[in-house]
Amino acid sequence: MLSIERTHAAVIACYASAATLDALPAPPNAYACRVAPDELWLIAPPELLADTERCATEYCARTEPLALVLDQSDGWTTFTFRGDEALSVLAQLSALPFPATRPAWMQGALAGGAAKILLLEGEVHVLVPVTLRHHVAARLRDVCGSLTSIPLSEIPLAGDARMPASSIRAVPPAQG
Amino acid sequence: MAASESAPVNGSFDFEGRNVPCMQGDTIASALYRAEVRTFSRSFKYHRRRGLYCLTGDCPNCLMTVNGEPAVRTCMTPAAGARHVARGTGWPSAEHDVLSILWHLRALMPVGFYYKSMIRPRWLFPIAERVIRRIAGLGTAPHGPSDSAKECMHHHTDVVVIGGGVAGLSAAIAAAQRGERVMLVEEGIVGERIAPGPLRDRIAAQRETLSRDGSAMILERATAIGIFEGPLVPVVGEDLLHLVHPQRIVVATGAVERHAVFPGNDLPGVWLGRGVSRLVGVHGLTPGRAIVVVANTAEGLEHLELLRQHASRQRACKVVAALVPRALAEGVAPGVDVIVDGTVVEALGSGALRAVLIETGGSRRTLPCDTLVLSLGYEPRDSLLRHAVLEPVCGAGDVVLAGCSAAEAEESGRRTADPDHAPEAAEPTGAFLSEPSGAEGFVCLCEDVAVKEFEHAWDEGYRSTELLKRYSTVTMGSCQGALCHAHLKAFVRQRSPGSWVGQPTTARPPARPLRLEDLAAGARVPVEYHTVLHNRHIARGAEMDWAGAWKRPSNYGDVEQEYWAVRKNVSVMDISTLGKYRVAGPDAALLLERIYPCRVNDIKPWRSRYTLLLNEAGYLFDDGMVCKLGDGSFYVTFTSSGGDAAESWLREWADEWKLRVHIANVTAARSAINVAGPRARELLARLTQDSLDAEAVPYGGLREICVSGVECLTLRVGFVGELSYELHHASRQSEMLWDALLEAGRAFDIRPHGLDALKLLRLEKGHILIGQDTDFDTTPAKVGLDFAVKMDKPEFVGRTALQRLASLPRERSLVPMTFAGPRAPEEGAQLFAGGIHVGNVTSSRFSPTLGCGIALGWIRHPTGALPTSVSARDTVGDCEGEVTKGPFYDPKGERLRA
Amino acid sequence: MALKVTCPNCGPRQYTEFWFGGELLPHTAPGADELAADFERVWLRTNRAGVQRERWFHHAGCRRWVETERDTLTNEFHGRE
Repeated sequence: MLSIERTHAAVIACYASAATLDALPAPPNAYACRVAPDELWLIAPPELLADTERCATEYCARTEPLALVLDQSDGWTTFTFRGDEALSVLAQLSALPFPATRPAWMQGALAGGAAKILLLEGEVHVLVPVTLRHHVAARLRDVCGSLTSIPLSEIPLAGDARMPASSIRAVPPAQG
Repeated sequence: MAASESAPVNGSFDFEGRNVPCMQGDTIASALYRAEVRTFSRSFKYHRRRGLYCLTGDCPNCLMTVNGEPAVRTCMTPAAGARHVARGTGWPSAEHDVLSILWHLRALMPVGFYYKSMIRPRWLFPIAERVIRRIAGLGTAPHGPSDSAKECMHHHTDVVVIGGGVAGLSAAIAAAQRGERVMLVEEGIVGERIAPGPLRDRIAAQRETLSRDGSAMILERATAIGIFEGPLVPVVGEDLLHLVHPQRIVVATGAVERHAVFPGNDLPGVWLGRGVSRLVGVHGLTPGRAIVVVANTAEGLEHLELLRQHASRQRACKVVAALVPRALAEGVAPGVDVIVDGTVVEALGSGALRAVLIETGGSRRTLPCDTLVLSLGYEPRDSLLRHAVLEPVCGAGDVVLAGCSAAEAEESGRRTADPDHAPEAAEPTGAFLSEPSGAEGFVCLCEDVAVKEFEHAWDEGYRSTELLKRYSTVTMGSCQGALCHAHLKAFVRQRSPGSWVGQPTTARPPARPLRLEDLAAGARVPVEYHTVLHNRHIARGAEMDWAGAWKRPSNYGDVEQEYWAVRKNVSVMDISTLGKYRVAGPDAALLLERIYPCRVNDIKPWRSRYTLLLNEAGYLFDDGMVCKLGDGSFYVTFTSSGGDAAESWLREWADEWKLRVHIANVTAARSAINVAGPRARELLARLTQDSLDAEAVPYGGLREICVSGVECLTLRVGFVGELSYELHHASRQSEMLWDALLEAGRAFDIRPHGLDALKLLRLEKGHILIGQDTDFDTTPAKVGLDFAVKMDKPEFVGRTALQRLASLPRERSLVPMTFAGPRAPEEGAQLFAGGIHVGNVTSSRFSPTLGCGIALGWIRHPTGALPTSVSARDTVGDCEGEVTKGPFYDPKGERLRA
Repeated sequence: MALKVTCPNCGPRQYTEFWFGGELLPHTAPGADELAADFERVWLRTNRAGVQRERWFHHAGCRRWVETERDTLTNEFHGRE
């Protein structure tokens, strides 16, 4: 049975040299996702935002003082999918070749926007720009029409449901 | 007796006012045939009566309007979904069509006649066009927006097999057995077109094998419409448009039985063998009373045998003769009159087949009959194969080995599982089976092109397949050459043997007819970007409009009130759409200094500077602010639609110069609200403890302050020409901040302003809007922005180009103008000076403060001197105006520095 | 229609995820007349029929410039992984 929830994740973006980011110790309960050689995201449950940010800031301050660590959480809305049909719903919104391995990290076009996708065992977190959350929600309703009913009310950003901590493991995902 | 004949009635549909019952497994065409319908359509040009012919979706004869949709192939469409079916052609009806007189007037309408005859007198053309459009065609296209909600779905597979016959199934099974992800695409239902017998059993067994494994996906009632680069194979299904991204493609679309060209070859009663075989074997229907079979193939003998057995059960039906070559004569069952080595010269009849004229050994004779079955050979259904240019495609079965046996097809399908298997080339077949006898035989049933029209076009000089195609429209009809392409090639090759002019024509998608709306599947909803305050704007009754990819408030009901709020009191605007970036890292200052035309090195911490963005050609493509933060890193903004281009531009040069910079896009994570108006400071003072006076936050300065509990990076800038503070803050707090500002602002009669007011406010200040007031080739000097370009800097992007351009005279300028009249000219109005056209208006508004129209516009001044007065001409009339100096409002900028 | 570009950060993607950045051109050649060389760089393109070095901006993914070598006759990308 497919379920889709609008959740909120902490996104700490670290901008530094590739060597610094390669050696960045992923803080506990955060996923280290490589966006580019000089950009790495730590994705964590929102209650761990401060810890994750501190962890990254302290490491960068030690290793590369001119690195940039930014809280980008407000820029993204997360849709969390559970159930077997998740990928067939996503295949209606995206041409991305989703891998079978878990965990996996992908970035690419979805529903006409640029999305970041964290594929975990049993669930898929799709991060879309907050400026497109209404559009992605509407498109999900379109393509899921016959599949499931999804509670996708327009929740204010601060009031989003929490990304469940159970889904977060300290495994740095393979690059997409 | 076929099973379906005793099957119970399974629904019905309306056919031109008649109720037509359907049996289990019926297509629309078979249900109609059972209901004694014999005229299925009227032909495109001559309105000739047409009946069922191929029953495989390859000919245009059964096209009808189904549920309001014209040109539906009724032989491929299940009767179950049909509600209203009608023949879209013929006047007043397809049954009694007075326009069939056109056939008798055919001498007046040679190929290409409309290119020549509708030219003079000129007034005739629109009338002729309207008449021809009404007479020709395949029905009426529905008007209005489509109600289709079809979505698309992407599939990533190793192999896609197109065609669910023996070859396709074998290919799919073989690939699945190698562990590959396989998708099989079949236009109908696997096996449904095959009459009961060993072949059908074999296909059923193969399908069972394929689905048992579970690894293969079988798409039925799904039509592959082309093979595109990628490779990409779009497949139109009933509910979804499938976009298949395979590693390899196997085309097993089979072959169609060869269309034969002789006079009368389009009469109802003339059939392709597989069509009759399906009618009898699958649907249990009887084609006619007296049947003549022409069989050149082993399969033809099977059709003959099926008909003979059917006739022996149905007393009213008889196979009167079979024309077979000597080699096959022994295979004919006793009791059938066999005519060896005979050919059909002409089919006789008017509106229905009455007899065939045949020739054997130099003598001719007439055989009375009402059904003529043709099994003459095969033409590969190879248009998909021909779409592929560099894509990894191979063919299997009939499409490459036309006329192969089932065993050969199976073997050929199996071979394709080997990715290294060298694909068979489609054998170029397509000689006329027998010399076309008589010029009246139809080569193309879709567009009524007869042999004489080929001859005519050839004589006029259209002497290659491609030219003949374009002039005669052969292969351009709904069958896309399935029946006629071979004849086109053969005709040209006969006339010009061995020459390149006989090449096959280029095959282009779609290979099969499709609805235009299917091309829009999954792309109907435009992508609009919303700021996090979107719902707040809606709640205040904002009129939203497109601004680039964004939807932004144009106004909240009263533009003038919004304008005065900014000029006299205080107002807020959601400017979260601005491109917002952090630029940091060891080389951040170096990148900005080398890229921007303004000086960056001397910007002090907590100060900002306006800057232009120039490309290498020295042309303006965006503008924005560059702000230096306390830690020496930068916060830069661009225009609302400019962020993407600016970011790629920053990264391009950072890469080019190999600089160590970090560029972080914070456009979505950070929102911004502009608080503008003479009482802005007063309003903010109620919400913050921090000082906002001109010393703490001077014009051009920035500061971090806490407004109503929200940390804001506050920029003092002045696009609207009043005291204003841009509050940049975390997006999650945006609604909170917006509400707090409007709540505290009640005491000041605050109201938010939209883009309409903004465009007037900035125009009064003479500020240009990039993209509205500029062209692609606008240098800063042309728009009076040379102050922002420091040519004494040793380097910035566009500097060399500007140096080069400086030696050329400037011939166009963007100038401010005032119009004394009661109105401003429209944007886009043409400008005249001394009666000569000199340019156009790019921005204009009536200024409430100045009490006159104000505008920016381009003026050409090749002699160097600007005209002093201009006349603007728009859709309303002329406005007289004067060229002035900007800005129109507060020229010294005292208000924004307050 | 469905050209695929391989992004070294993200993997193979539809070309619609990218903006085409054009042929990679050398910066001002040493010793050349600066104004003339700049004119060439800004306005003149090789229009190569064959393998061309070019760049694409992966806007829907990592948002970085990707350098590729593409055969303009066949649209095949040649390895520069």
